[in-house]
Amino acid sequence: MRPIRKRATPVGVFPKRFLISTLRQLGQEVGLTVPTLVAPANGGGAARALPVRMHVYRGGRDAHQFDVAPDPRQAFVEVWQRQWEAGLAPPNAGEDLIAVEYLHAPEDAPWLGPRMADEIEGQFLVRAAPEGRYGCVLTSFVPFRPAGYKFTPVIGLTHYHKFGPEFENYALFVNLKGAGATDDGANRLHVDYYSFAGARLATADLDVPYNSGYLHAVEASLAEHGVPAAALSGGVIAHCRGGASQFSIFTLIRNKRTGALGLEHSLPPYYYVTGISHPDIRGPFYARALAPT
Amino acid sequence: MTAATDVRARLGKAWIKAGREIERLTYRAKIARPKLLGPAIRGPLVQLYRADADFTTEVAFVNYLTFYLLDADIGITVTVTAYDRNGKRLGSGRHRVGRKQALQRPLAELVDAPLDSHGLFTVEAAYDAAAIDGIAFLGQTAPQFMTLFVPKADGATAPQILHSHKGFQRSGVPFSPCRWESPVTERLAAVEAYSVFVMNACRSKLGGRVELVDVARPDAAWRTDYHAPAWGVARIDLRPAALGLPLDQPFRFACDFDRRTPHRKPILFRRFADGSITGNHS
Repeated sequence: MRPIRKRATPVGVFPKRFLISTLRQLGQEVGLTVPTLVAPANGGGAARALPVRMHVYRGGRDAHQFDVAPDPRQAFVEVWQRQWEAGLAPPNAGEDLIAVEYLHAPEDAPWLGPRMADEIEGQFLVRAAPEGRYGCVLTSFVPFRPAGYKFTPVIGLTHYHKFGPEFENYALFVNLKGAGATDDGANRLHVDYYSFAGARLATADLDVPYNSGYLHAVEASLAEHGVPAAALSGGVIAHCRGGASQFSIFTLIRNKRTGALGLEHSLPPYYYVTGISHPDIRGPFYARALAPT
Repeated sequence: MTAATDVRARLGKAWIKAGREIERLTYRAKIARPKLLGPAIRGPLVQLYRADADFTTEVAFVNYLTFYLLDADIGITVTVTAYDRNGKRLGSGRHRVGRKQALQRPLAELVDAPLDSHGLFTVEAAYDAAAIDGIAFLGQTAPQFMTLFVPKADGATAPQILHSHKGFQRSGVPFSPCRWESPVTERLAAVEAYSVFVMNACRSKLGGRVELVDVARPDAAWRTDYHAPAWGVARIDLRPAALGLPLDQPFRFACDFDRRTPHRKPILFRRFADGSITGNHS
């Protein structure tokens, strides 16, 4: 195998976004925290923190932007849904996609480029009410590609559900396409459901709306595809493939009686195959992983 | 920090860096010679368990190789090992996960031993020897798993899911102080009680301080010392109402460590007035 090339210091700023979704269907308010990025001191000027912009995608459109000027003395910026929705009309249906970016000037590139090329993370916050219970999950910023970019298809593997009369399980697909064409089928996911014993239980095709959050009810989907409820107690694996646009996928478990939530991000292939960006691995890996079944 | 302490910390960090380089070279050798040296599989990976009045712990693992290499027929044998809060090994179990299979079972069953109220557990993987040639091109792989903290029946809580990709270290870590700060603002008025679990995934004793810091006035904080034995866990329970802090102000958790153990994000559980609990590593 050829050695991986040593990473060069980026000359530009690699665009990334932090993606979350509203959870209105579950009666929750969402929020986020992202790190405050402060420009290195240059002479006697005051510390300058990069403004943070939230793009609110509603009905697939970048419908609203909300900017926050962070306090450079604070390590993190925290924003809640009620802040970016102030003055906005309520949505008709579905969930909004929230995409967060750092606004920067060309002179920020030398220090911001390496920072954005490295791992940068935010917290997806969920609460029942401002003074009520809250929870969160830490997850990475994802690359934001220009219109026309050809994405590698998504491979999602979700097997950590909890089935039973007290709980319901959801997959939350957050899909960012940006301003590109939306007639290329890149929002389609093919899902094969397997039992823990390795038997295929059902298949489903999902059209995840572009530039939206999409809450997929696992038990309802399985029932719709003929999987009896009794089969769930043994465990179910959801193997998702397709969806050649930018996705973030979360798993939620909800207590039906109280509405309390458990939330975790998914594990993309690079968690399991650490060198997947290496060209000698990537090509053969995806050829075999995306082969017809 | 005194000059002597500073030198000690620098030496400690250099030692850690050298150890990482040795580990990297070991993995590279395995990637180059998987038949001779075995496949380059990261591990053991580590996570917290709870087996107390609030939660039991389930471990979920999937045969990722056969969901990625669809034509492959390779089994993964998973070894799960649990330790008590003081780092004493309690038990271990091996489980084969076949093609396109998964397992999700209580940790106590997987390690075939009664658990402590909390502690560490590890997961490591081995692949069927006959199939190693076919997957060697993948280079280094990692046996990722999910941990579910499952509430007791009829409770108000939903299962809390946590992932960890952190390694369990069989050797010690020298003095190398560091600090972690949570990005999450804590609303003390909403929380009845916190349980903070500081994990020590190495063979040295770990000490330090957990703090609850006023976001607006960082000098105003509540602090407590902790000590975690090698491969052990320190648990800090606190009730915000009893701390004498202004409950209407935003706070954040922070934690000081006297050495750079592999897992430096304490696991935080919050109990609310309705009885529900949320947990996360932040």
